[in-house]
Amino acid sequence: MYVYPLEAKLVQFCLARASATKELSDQPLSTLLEGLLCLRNDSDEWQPSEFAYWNAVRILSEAYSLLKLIFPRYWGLPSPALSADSDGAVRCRWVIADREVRVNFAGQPHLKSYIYFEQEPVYKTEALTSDALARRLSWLVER
Amino acid sequence: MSGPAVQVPALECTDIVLRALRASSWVDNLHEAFLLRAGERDTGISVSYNCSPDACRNTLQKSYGVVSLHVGKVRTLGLDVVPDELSHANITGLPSKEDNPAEAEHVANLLAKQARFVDKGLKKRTEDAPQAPPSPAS
Repeated sequence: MYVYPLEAKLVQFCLARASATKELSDQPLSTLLEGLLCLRNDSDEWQPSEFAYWNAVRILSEAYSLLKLIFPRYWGLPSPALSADSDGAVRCRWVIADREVRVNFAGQPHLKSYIYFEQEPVYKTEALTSDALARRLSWLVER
Repeated sequence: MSGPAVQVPALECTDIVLRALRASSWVDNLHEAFLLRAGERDTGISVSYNCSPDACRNTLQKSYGVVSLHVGKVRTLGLDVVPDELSHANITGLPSKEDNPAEAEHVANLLAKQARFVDKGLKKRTEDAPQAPPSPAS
């Protein structure tokens, strides 16, 4: 698997550029953030903890901004299924054909946050950071 | 559950168990129903057997569906289904998200692929409906 050489400085540069050009307010990210807000306000279901919610907002915003700037096929990314669990975690799931990416934003700092990806027969987890998520989502849409 | 209160026979591989869906998001993301939550790490995932889907659903205040699983197929994944009441059991041997997230997610996927919907749609508990024994983890 090809790993994009994203360095921390590049990440910072892209985020700064995204903020400067107001590209953070693009449609897929807006839809995703609205979905998170609905999850937070849905009193009929489990609700995310504040820790999970704000972690999700931050990392997803950064990852989507990176994707948009660096990977032109960003627009092929579907909206993820969003849910919360009884431990307050935010769960996201993207599926394209036989590829799947899930993210677990832990409900509490002492619980595990991670990225899970699967394309049978391979399945793995990796540490959850915005650049790792951007790379993994680009893997999802690349063909 | 803390342990068998009554002597219950082991389940056969041909037996069917039912899992009520606690969250609406589980209907389209069925693997979520098979991820251990914090309170389930010592017991396993709660299932019902020897009861109707309605009785299974009545262990919850509200539910969004019921899926069935073949005990034999669960066992082929290296898991077990251990009864602790006359109509309640736990799927045991599941990895936890905290200990081994890759295995936990993958096994949840495999269980979701084996599960079959036997009822769908929001249903709230009715007092006069048949009830399976309450399951603390559901």
